[in-house]
Amino acid sequence: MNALFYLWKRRTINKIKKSLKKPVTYIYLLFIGFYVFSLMNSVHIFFANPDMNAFVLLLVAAAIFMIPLNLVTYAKRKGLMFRNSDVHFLFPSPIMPKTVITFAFLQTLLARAIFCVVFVIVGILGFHIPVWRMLLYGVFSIGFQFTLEGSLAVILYASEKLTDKSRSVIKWLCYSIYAALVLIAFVGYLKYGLAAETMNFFFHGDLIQCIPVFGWYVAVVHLLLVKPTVVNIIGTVCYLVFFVVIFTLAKRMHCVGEYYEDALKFADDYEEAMQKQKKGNTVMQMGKKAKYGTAQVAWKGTGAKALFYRQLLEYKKTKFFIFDLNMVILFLASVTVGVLAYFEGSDPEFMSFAPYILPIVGAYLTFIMAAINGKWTTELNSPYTYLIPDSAFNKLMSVTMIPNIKNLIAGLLLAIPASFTLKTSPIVVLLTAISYMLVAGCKIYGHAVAEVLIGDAIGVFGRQMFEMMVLSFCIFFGVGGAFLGLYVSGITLAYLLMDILMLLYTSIFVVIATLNFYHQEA
Amino acid sequence: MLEVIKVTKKYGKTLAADNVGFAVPDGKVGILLGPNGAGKSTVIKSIAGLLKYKGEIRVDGKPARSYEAKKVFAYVPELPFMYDSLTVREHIEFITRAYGVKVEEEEVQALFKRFELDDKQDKLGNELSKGMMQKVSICCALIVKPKVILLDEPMVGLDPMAIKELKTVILELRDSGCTVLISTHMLDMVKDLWDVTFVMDKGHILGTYVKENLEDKDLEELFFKVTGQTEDSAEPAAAEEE
Repeated sequence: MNALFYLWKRRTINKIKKSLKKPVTYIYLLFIGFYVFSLMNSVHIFFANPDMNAFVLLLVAAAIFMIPLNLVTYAKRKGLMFRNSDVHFLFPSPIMPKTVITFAFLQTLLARAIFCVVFVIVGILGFHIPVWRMLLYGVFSIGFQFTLEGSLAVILYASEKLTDKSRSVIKWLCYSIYAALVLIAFVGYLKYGLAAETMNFFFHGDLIQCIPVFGWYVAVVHLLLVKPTVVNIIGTVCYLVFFVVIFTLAKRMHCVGEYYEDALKFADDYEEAMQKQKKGNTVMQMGKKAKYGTAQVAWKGTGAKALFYRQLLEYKKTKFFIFDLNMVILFLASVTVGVLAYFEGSDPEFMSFAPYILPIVGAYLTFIMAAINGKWTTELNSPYTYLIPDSAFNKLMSVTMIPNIKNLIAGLLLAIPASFTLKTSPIVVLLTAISYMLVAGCKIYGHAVAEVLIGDAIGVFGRQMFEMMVLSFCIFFGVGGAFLGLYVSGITLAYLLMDILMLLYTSIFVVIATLNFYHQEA
Repeated sequence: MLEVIKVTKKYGKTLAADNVGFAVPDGKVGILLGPNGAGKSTVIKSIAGLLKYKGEIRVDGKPARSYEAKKVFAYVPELPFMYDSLTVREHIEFITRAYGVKVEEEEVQALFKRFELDDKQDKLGNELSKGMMQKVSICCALIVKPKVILLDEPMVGLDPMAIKELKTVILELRDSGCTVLISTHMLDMVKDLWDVTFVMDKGHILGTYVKENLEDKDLEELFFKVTGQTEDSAEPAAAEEE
């Protein structure tokens, strides 16, 4: 453990030193300071009527989110983080594999230990829970619960006797905790309906404390912080017995490091995900490789057109061609608005506002997914894009042609379903689709500008902030145009002006991107 | 001594190594040769304890996964991965602590000087070029004074000076009784170093060649013959067939 402690210490010190040299750290600190200050100023509202049950409810709610899911990830051999540097230096070294896994687990605890201390302080100062009770809770959480989870992590992750099948069974047993919780909530609803008693029944009742492992934790929390009952005493005894058994098993377990093979795969996947994230692409599911079938395209033209056909070929090889989850969400959003309009069609107030819901939904979805970029961004990172002998404008247009077509189709999916009940004219439907294409297009060209002009100068976060700012202004201009059009004439002019202003704004970024599309900055 | 005994490794239904067996005696340099996809990396990773496998691997007479074996074993992977926030010097410090070896500062400095890292000691892992990372990786392996060392494509990314130095180091290790196993594609790079060569393809060892038995036969020619990459493929000459 000496070497591992050294590793942790030096990495932490060097990271802090490096962070202090970056101006962005001070901006973050300023934000955190402001946030804490605001929180301190508003905290008295929450604690005006301190309630012990509310505090226990908070603890149990946090446990619901953490404990079963943590166990599932350990059973899947994914909960602990290993990097390729660990595979290189740590795994072949004479540090025992069980020590390696314990170290990996301990690294995940720091943030949780801080949360625990915050909970203790909040419990004492905010909820006026006696100090001795909160200290007992602190000792229990850090001393017992973390040790128990660590022991379970060691067994589930590193046991060489557990087969894949038994791991899968454990995984489903952990999921069944959620099933039990849903069942308890349902029973509560049947008994008390939508009332505060249901919450009490769910969080503080006996049933939750009878769920094995997770419920026993809830029982201990109730025993420590509320009052002793037969159920929570039995639950606490079960917890302690379980603790002793699991801790002993983990300590005695033989492990030569067979889990390294899965950890190696995890490290590879993680590293790949990190690389993608650095380039501004969010990774939905780590370790999932894209599947491609076979396809052909009729290549036409030369130069930058090759970029278009290369993308087309790649899309043709994928299962759903250019259709993706985003389009499904837009379609469902449109259907929802359409259904609402069907039921609320007699309400003139709703119907006057309804046609604007669609562009708002489109803009909102584009905005919240601002950090996610599509396949086309790989073109910006490829040196071949810049080496192809063609004009910068042609290259930019070819690279972004398919994304723009995709966005127009997505816009139509957003505009058409709702139009049946909203009774919007075909021209408004088309303008709605174009408005979506323009907002999404602004995101595309904003990203292109960020990539070719800014590169890594302000880091990934800074670049994403820049892109969001570009997008915000686009939406701002669009809304301005819509208001103006509505004021002057009506809905059609509102959409027309909205689209024209957004087109003009987006064109600025097309020009900036084109002027700088000669070199690879990122 | 490094012994690989009937090692079999499957990835799903794919058999990456099939009953692979070979041994590199003390004080000898073994070369694991094979075309892409031959199964070399699988064998190397199995020896380094990174993969599950069937069979047995022994390092200095002890099971490869035992503490005692790992204490005397060093590994230089094909792709070096540094800890981003550890300096070059701290990597060495970490490794000496992990292996529980006492190393004098002069030794560390001499090693750094040999691989031209003496002015890079305070650089962080993520500030190094690939070649520099490879040099740090080699230094980390050498600093523990191993009895068995495994080098996977060690020359890739190194500058000519470092390649020359590494070759000298390998010969010094051999002369001091250390067992060296090098996995490589680059026949030219190892032609002055090897004592025994294992040619591998499609998960099998096709032939084992001992330098002193080969007389004046060219290793490159033999490699192409045994892997069937020339028209006149033949049985391995002067080989101890597996």
